[in-house]
Amino acid sequence: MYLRAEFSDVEAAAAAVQTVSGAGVDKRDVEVFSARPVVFEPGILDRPSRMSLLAVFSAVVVGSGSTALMFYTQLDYPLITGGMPLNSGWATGVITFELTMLGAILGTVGVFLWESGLLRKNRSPAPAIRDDVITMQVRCDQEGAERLVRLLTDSGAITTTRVEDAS
Amino acid sequence: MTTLATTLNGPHRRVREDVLHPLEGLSFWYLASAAFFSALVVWALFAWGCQIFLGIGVAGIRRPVFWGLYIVNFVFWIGISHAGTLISAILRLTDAGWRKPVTRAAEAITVFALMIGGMFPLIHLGRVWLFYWLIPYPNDRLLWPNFRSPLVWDMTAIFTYITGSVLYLYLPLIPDLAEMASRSQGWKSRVYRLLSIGWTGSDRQWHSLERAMKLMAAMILAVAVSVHSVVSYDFSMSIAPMWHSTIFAPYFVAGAIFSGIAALILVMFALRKFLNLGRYLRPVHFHNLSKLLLLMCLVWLYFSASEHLTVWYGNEHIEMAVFNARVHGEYAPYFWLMVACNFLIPFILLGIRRLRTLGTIAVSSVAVLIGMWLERFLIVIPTLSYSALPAAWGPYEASWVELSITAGTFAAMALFYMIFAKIFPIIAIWEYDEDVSAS
Repeated sequence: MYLRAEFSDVEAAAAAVQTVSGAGVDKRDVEVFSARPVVFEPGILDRPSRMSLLAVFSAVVVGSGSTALMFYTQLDYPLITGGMPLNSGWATGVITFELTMLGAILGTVGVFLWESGLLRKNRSPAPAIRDDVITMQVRCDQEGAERLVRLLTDSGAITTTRVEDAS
Repeated sequence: MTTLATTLNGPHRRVREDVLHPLEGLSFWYLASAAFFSALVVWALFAWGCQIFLGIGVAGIRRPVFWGLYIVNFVFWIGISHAGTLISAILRLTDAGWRKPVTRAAEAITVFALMIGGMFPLIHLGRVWLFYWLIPYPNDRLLWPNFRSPLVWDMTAIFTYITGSVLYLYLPLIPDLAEMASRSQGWKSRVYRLLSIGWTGSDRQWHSLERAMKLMAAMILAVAVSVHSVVSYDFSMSIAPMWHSTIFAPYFVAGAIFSGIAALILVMFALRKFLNLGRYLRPVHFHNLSKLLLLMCLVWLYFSASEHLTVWYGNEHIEMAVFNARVHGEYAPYFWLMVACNFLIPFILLGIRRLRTLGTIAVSSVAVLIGMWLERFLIVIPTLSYSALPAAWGPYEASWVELSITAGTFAAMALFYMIFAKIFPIIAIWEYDEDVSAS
């Protein structure tokens, strides 16, 4: 099940995140919903990301793959060159650069879709976003719910509600 | 399915009312303008159809000028595309607060200008149905993609740039699409919801979006610079008078940014006037962009003067033929009009503080666009008219087909933009909301 708590400001929401994580709730089970980006102090609800790393990886894969394809394409043609080199490194380099960047861009977008949970089917339920509140959602079991409701209320939650997991 | 609610208070509600209002209804003037631009586009398509049916001979490109208005327009529109993504990326990376009402309008220009510019190599081909020969793929079909050809470089560069630009426009649009899905009904709501790909506004999504936009901005910067460099290589890699120049790549990039800023200012001017967005596209935005325009005007002068001075000082007779044709020959009226449009008008109107008003900023932008189109014309045509072999010199005269297609592309740009501004909020609501909350 999930608990939802509404807060009127960022400070109260940040305090609530720290309180519930201090009470043993894994931060991966905590989500904050808002109509616009909410900026917490570092360490409160960091979301580690491998986006940069995977973008570089994607760039290397697409860049080197396309370069290999270009060399294969040029060597595969039975062109009589009279002993002259068939491959042109500098000219190939331009295309390598462009396709490396394409790989980085597509990699970034792919990681964005994955890390943000968009396009995933089995996602947690999400509340309707209101402009004037920040909604925090905590995944918990039935036994611990009562205690978490108290903690959230003490942290400044305006309202708390329980949502059953549809799955 | 989650929906974003519409419970809003004071300033946030006002932002939505103002930004979403232009999306409602179709006024008489909107329909009349759309019909006018559509008619021009249809005429251009007819002209292109004639060229496909009758052959490339209906265009004015013939020996020795094999590159005519199509390549002029290609370079011009690719330059205009630098308005959006590049400027938006620079402002995003430098965290310029005033960028927020400007970025989406700018990014949309990039996508449409690239769509239009990217068409010209295909139109120029003549036999457009063989366009796939440009695409490098394994040559088991006995085609040999020539990777040493800058045209193949163009293909990959523009493909990368348009892919990146579309994604760069789309990603920050997702939160607004989710909000619009909750505000609209019926099929519109379903379409917006589909496009918003399940956005819920969770902190994970916001984190990922902001991280992705930062990374994309850095990548797009590199790609944008490379794209216009590659376009310049179409010229500078050939040993032709006044093309074979080492400064062509930065010269082209600077020119592209110059014309891009001018296009952005004009679009913002139109949005402010016709969509009543004066509250968001404020004089400060125009003044800041006009300062950038003035800076780029001086950069353009520097590059242009360096290029011409070097040729003049070298006094090589092959290059001097082109130089003379440009500066005091048959192309001199275009050349001096270009200097007036690209330097004199913006320098005087924007450089003298008392003269710098919204009206003069718009006039300067129009002048710069005319000047930059002329510059592309003067780069392409005189060199081919006065090639290295004097016996092969010859004139160029654009045909009605080329002129129609050229006019049609300007109409297409206006039409695409009108349709975009009717379907999507032209100002990023959530980004502007951040400013409202902060203030």
